[in-house]
Amino acid sequence: MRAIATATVLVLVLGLATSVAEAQFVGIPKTFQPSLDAAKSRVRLKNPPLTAAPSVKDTLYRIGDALGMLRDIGERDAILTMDWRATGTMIFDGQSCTLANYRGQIRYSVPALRIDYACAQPDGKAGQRHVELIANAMAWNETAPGTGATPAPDAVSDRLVQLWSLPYSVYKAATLAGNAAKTTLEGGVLYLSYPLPAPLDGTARVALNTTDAIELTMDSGEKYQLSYWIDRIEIRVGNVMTETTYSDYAELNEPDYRSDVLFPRRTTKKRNGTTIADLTAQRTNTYNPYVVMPVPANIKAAYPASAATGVPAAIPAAGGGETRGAGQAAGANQQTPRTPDGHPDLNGRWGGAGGAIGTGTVQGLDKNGNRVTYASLEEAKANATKIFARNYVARHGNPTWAERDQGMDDRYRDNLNPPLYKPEFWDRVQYLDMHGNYLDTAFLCAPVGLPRIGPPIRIMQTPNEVILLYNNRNTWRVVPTDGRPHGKEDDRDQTYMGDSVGHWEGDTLVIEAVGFNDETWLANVATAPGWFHTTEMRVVERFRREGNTLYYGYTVYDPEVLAEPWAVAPRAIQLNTTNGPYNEDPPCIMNPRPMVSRERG
Amino acid sequence: MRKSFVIVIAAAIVAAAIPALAHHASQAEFDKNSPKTISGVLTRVQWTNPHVRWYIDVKNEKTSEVETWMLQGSGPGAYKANGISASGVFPIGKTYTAMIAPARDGSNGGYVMTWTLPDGTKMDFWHDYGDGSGEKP
Repeated sequence: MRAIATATVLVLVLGLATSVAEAQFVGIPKTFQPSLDAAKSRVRLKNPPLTAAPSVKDTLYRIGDALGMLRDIGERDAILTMDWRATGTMIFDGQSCTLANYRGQIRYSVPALRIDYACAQPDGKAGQRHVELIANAMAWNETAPGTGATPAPDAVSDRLVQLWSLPYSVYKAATLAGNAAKTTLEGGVLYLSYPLPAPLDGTARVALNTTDAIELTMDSGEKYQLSYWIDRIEIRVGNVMTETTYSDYAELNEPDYRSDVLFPRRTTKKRNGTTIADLTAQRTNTYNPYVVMPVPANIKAAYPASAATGVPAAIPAAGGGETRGAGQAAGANQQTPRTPDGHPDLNGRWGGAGGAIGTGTVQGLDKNGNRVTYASLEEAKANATKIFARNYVARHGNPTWAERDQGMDDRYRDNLNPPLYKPEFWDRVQYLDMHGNYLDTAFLCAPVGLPRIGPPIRIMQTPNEVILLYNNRNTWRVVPTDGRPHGKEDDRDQTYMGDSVGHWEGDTLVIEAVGFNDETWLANVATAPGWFHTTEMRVVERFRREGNTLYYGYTVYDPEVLAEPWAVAPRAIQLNTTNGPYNEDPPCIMNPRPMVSRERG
Repeated sequence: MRKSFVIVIAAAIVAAAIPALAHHASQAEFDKNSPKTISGVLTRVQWTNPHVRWYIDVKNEKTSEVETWMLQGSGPGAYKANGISASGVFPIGKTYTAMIAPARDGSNGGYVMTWTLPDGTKMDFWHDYGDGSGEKP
């Protein structure tokens, strides 16, 4: 008895000492310490209550910025997917349930939500697994993610309400509402109200905490505040009122995998005044992780076709990142040159002359001191009094945030069209992505392989073969187009670029490659977010020239791990007539220093 | 008059041009919030992927011994796109000053944020701090 009492005192003393030390260090709540570490200093402030309601636009900006949704130069909504785990209690089938586990996943491009949980049995062990999904206006239940689907049409409204009740959904749904969103000030509290996205016929009313703020001082010396925390969301659909209360926003990603996206640690939910959930978030992955929610065929069949498209996608219309495929139509009016044998002439240098990939915009100050986005570095050099490194204008000018912005952006763009793995590999993809700094063999200077290497920079074409040259690691491929099959043994070889044979399908050159190792990862846009493959992979590339534009797309077949072939839409690449020199890509020399964290950029 | 470049290491351009590139955060390796300045004689430039490396002999004030520091930057492609070449900008045998984000593992190394070349030219490889000097205020 005495021993226990002593131990308790010790714990109390230690606990006190810890909290005092932390309070002295930053002077802001403990929950904010793990996040926002990019700022030079952070101070907690109490702002006076507002005296007038700010515009919807300003309100949404503050909401999105505080949550860390608005990233990169354009401060554009960069939240595509999210994954979180929680503990707590819920009402299930009218009974109170203490959660043995709880995992939420969202994919805003559908939009779709998956809640995967189990109640604790009296002995503490996890009971039956419940997997509840909504994708667009189709609701269904599964026995485990991706298996045993049964329609749950009665749950459509409730689950859509749940989806639109997440803090990030407030920004997205109010943005979708456009002019129908309103701000009002009632008793010093700012409210944001808007109609819910179709097909729900209802309204949301959001109470914001504008008095508590975190003031950050950035490297540039600029100060700004994070505030406008979402305190409470009231959603009324018919005669059902769902009230969700959030508190204690914090970065809950693992300490070396931060994204600067904040998540509410505590969530409580009431339906018509009765508490239906009280959740405490334990851990999140807000770095646009691999989250897919394919709708099983039997579920699609159970709903009218309109249920698959009735809900608007809750992501910015233009997608993330730089505009790609600019000048896509440029080649339409030009005649396509042909070789004497009648095939389109693919000979030439492709890309790298600007216009095809990326916009390459540069920010600078004009002579009046205004920040201007110039179309190119050349234009900026000619007109700007000062050119900013891109990092300077990333989210609030902080270099660390700039890298996280890049990582968010890369995952956002890649995960817009991810390969669909079989359900048993979904968590593995997330794991590989999170540990990419250690597990992506590209960091060991291994070749990135096909198709991650992207399109060739130069094509040489003869009647019987095409030769593809890549700048990346000075790589080449010689592809026979005379109709021969894959080389015996070559097709079972394990190489980075595979054994390739090609043929013409009309005006399209089709190249099929097999015989790969399983060392490389797939990539689409910018990064390779854990998209592994097996030695059974087959890559089919399609090259089509129209005028001076080359369209390059590919499909990856790997039935061992992929649930369906992964098709990457053709992208436009312009003929490069600059006639510049070809330069050696310097060799990759491995870094002698190990990575000390999983942070991506 | 001192020349002052503001070099644009435009990550967006580089990433878009070479989609196969892999990215890890430099924060995973270097501490960008604790920059330090070192000076020494450049002994070797390694113009290789994935990162350009510079080797500098720095005198340790405590031990008076000369230690070799391996500094690191972006990829050679990014510098080339901005008109920076190995021997054209970094002749060896001369004294350079670098503001670096030190390596997190405590080894003699870092990520170069700002170079001061032997002729006094400053090159900001990281970001502009608002006054154009490339130096942290």
